[in-house]
Amino acid sequence: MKHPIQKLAYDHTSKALYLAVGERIQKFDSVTGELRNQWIPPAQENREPEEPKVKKAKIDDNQHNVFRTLTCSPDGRYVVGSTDEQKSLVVLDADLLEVNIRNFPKRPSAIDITGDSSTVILGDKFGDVYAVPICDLVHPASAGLSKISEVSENESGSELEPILGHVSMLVDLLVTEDQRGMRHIISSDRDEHVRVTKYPESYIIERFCLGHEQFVSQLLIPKWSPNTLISGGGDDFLAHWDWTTGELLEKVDIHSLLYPNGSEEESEEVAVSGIWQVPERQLVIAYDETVKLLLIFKLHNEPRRLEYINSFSSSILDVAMTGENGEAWLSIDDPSDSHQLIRKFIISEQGELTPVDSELTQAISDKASFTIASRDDVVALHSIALLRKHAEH
Amino acid sequence: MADDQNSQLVREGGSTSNKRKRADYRQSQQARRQELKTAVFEGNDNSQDKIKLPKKKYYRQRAHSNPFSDHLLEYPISPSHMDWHKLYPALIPAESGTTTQAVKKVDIVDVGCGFGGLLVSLATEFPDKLILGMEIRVQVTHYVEDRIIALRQQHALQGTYNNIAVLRANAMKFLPNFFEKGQLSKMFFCFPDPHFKLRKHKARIVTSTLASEYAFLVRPGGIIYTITDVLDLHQWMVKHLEAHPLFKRLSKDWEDEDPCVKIMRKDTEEGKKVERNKGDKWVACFVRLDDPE
Repeated sequence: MKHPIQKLAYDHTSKALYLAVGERIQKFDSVTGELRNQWIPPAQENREPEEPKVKKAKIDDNQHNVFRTLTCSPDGRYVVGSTDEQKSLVVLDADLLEVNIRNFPKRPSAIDITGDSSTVILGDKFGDVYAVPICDLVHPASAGLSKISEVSENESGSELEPILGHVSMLVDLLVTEDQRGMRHIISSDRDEHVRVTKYPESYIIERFCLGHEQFVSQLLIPKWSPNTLISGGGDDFLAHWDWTTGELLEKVDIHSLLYPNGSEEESEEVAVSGIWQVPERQLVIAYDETVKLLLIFKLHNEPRRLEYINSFSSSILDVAMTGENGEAWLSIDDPSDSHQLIRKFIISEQGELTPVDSELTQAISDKASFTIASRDDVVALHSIALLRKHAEH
Repeated sequence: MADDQNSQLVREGGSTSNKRKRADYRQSQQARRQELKTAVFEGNDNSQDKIKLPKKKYYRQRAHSNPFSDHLLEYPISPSHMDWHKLYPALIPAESGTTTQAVKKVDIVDVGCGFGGLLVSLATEFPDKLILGMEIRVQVTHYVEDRIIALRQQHALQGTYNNIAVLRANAMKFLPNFFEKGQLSKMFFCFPDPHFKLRKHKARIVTSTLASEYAFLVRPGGIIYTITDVLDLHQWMVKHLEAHPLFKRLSKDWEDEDPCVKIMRKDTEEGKKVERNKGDKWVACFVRLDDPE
């Protein structure tokens, strides 16, 4: 069988589709299905963690250094991902040549890139958020002169200081920019908090969006409604906010959609592992990893309301929207049939998914990924539900 | 003689009879606490016996708590969900307990209030302000609750101590659930856990990233007070708060003039202990600056 594709990223500037497969990254031409490049990590011996003495005992041989996040820069020049075991931020260029690999003290859990493609914003398992300039990574020598004052001020030298922090596992974050060029970081954690912080003046917390009662694993700002924030995680609802005021506009029940024959027992737990948008259709799509169901909503502006319109059942790991004609790439995780790793759909105005380009997706599936002996060789990929708290005392 | 024997036994882990004694004491205190926590004591009621102040020895708990673990904590979803009437029954009426309009709000917070010495002194220093102690250890929180109940009842005639309350909470995680932006005028950090190990520094109550959260809660002009007997921790707190663009350290002269600094040095339990041991106490205070334009 083949290793499933745990993460997808689509670059609209070159119509390239990036795949994170285990420890590898592959680049496909989404039009021709051609495998363009592949990045395989350098041998492990050369990549010892920076503080080996602290955590060495914990490294488990069965654990792999798999990619947990993957995204491309808005200008299409870089693809960026973060890995599990080495806790690395991996920055590659569009040919999948290594630009930089930087190890972090704690496991990165979420990344985003600023709109000017200059900086990676990375959140970790301990709740700290770092700003990592891509340009310094690309041209470390030329950065030297202009950065001298900053470095001497910040005595720790090359050690990055967090720009903001939660005292809880950081689960998702995103960087926003309004028409006036004002930027914010929105970050969410396992302790039900959604925080809005100014950027780069990240010492100014603007507000908290409070209303969740469980972990918040997914944040989305629709492109066509930039003041709107949709968030979800372990709660029975998606939260629909105006993040510029902190107002909770509505709680959109999803429990009844996921468990329509709801028994009296309250054991049916929600675990939203993905929220995406289809701007050209003004749709918001959420995925529950336990029920394995995509829920499709229409976002209305007057009045601001999220309307449920359809669902689609499929075992998936990630979705990448192209932003054109309702096209969506789905990474399929079907252990019984690993021949079809990836599929392409057209999502209609009514939220219906129609499979398209089956020859193209089969061609990509054939060339993508690599062979593994059994599913035991794959790390746990559907693990968002584990964030639910079980009180100790 | 009997007392010596008892303390001996306590040191060795406690005999069955001592355990029972503690359990009985706690149980009777708990019963009264549940009855009287939200009571408003009338000054003209002379029929009541004065409630005795609680005894600290029955509420002992280890001095440290892991701020990262998932404690079974109660906290409101947001500040507007908090029922403050339960904590300040004489000053916040029940019906408006959960609305935010025209009701007095907590103004001063003692983070990690311990056995409540500072709270009790602040109660009479700022009779018009609502003051809240936050403490992560259960038994210690119970002690402070019982102490406040006794003080309220003992001073029913004067009506004092109605403006202080205590809450079990993890202040590193959940302060924004209790307070709105700019709600607080003063925050106290008295003798916080030093977390000596390098690896544990993120568990310290003052870090660069938490300083941003305190800046969110304290309004411009408000003050952050810190005191510790650990020089290394003092230097750490000064370094992180001084480096923060929204805080500026106040001068030694300011410290000498400020009544709260005096109270903090003298009236915290830790402060008294350090005094007894003739140890050093390090004070640093910071004013919250205006947000830059």
